[in-house]
Amino acid sequence: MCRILSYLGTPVLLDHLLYAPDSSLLSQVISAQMLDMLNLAGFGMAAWDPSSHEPESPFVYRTTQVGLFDRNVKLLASKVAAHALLAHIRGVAYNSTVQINEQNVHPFKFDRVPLAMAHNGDLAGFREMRFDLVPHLRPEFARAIQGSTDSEWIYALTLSALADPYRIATPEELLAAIRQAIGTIRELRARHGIARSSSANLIFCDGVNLVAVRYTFDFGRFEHRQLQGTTEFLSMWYTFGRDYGLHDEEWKLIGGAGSGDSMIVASEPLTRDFSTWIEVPEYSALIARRDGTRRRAEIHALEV
Amino acid sequence: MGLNITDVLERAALLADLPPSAREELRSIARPFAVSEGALLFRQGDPPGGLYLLGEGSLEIASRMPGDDTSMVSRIAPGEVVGEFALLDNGLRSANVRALADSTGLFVPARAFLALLGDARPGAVGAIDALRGLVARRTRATLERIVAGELAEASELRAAPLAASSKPVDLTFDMIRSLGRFARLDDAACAALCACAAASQVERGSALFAAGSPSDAALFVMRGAVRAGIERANNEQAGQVEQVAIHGPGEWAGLAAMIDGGSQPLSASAAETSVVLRVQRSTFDGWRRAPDALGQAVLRGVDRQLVRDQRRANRHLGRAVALERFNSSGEH
Repeated sequence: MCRILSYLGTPVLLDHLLYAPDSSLLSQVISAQMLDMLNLAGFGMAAWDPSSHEPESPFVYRTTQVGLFDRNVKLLASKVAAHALLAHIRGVAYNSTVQINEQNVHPFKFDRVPLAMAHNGDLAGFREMRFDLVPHLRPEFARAIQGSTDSEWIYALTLSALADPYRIATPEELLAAIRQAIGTIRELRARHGIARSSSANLIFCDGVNLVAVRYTFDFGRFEHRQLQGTTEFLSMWYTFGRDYGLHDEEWKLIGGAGSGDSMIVASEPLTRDFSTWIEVPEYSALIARRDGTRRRAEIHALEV
Repeated sequence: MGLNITDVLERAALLADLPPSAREELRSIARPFAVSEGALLFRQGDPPGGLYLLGEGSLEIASRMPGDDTSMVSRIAPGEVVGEFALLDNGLRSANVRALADSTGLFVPARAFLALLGDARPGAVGAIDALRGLVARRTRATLERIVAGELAEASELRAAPLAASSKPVDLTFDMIRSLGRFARLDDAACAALCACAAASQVERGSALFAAGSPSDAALFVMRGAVRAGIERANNEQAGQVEQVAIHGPGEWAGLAAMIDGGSQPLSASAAETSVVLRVQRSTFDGWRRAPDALGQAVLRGVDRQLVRDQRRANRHLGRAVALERFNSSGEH
């Protein structure tokens, strides 16, 4: 299983999100609060830096190293300030059947497409159903899939459902595409008789808007007598405010919700004290959109 | 300010219906506490230590919110309790509690209390059930606030539940033991559960019970997921649901009403095709009065869920308030 972190707001030094808090994303490599698993199979990020060359394109970094030990990430994080970030640490089953390679590291972002996506969860029986997804993919995205993860297919499926995946979509367009992708997967699962609980917590970001999905197919259902995995709905949390930083010895957004211009959405809070964080409801999407200089946030039911 | 321990125990509304012997049991483990005006009794996120019975003074419960906002939850007067989650669940403190005036009272340490409960001492059994009632009533009050309030966003509404659709299924010992808290139940306890519960498979989307219906049976989720929510009278599509909670395997649907005996504050429907157990109220109440091995396993889950359900209700209320503030930023 994996952990995701995303941010949208005024520029923040990446170090302050990836390393500084007491339960930062990279500390979750070995000691996540809400996951009894290590996330050793790589680190990746897309970071939109407004002062960089072509600021609408993110700075992308991927490594199959254990994120915590990657010196380059640490050095880069102390230099880059981003107004939007999508970062991911990959956790996989502890055996030799999994493929650890750069093509499987999130977030996924195809050439010339502004949208990036990271996934936390996995689809049971994906190998049996994946080729039936091909008719639902635009040919160029079917060809662009390089890795072996279910996540990259979900990404390609969502892009294929957008009218124009090469421009920034409105949050409504993106949400409609996500619904279509989830609906297609649900239909194929039914056709293949797959009814095992399968999590698909997804975060999409294009540097302008962010859509975070907390969703599980057939939550709580298992094919065998014994439960497999967890009976908990995979977590996703968010917080907002302004001026993210170290205030009163605590990493947090301040200023009250009423003066907020920034939002963090993550698989779990970045601090051990999560009293200023709220859970994204189950079977829902959280949209954070740019509205002039402000941000707006909405919860949308995901009934697919 | 002197503290009369007997007086504090006598005045505690929570213990009013318990026999004097039960109060004596609590007296044996309670110890005095004092907190000065303005000082924090405990902080949100602190580890749970125990329950506080307020004798004199005044306490304020406040919760933190995104943006480092604080929201006042309630005030605690003499005779009332605070920190009760600590005896039901080992989760972290869910709010800040500060003294509005110099305050004194009794502290009931969770560890000592749970030892009494483990020995099935009548005082502890009675007190914990009184706490269940207190938490269930508070959850109901929060849910009633949510129901009475306006829907935050139409985008949150979900399709109205379909007509009830279920078929009986056989409940096996393996299925029962696959749930963590039932893993160590022996054959006799599993057989007892099979004998007192009817298992059925409920199709995705179909209704389980409506808000306002009587709580004559408890519904336990064995597999799948049950959605608890508010059916909103929307002009466009009547009966659309505002989701408040998802109950997965090992949880009860409509627990607050089973504890306080009132009608169901929320409706319930199957979020996924589910296997649910229906347990009659008489059986459920029997576990509460005199828990056997099965009853103890059931009640450990009930106690944790009561806390969790209250947190969910508070989360739902807090989320709507926080999002509204965030979205109105910059508007004057």
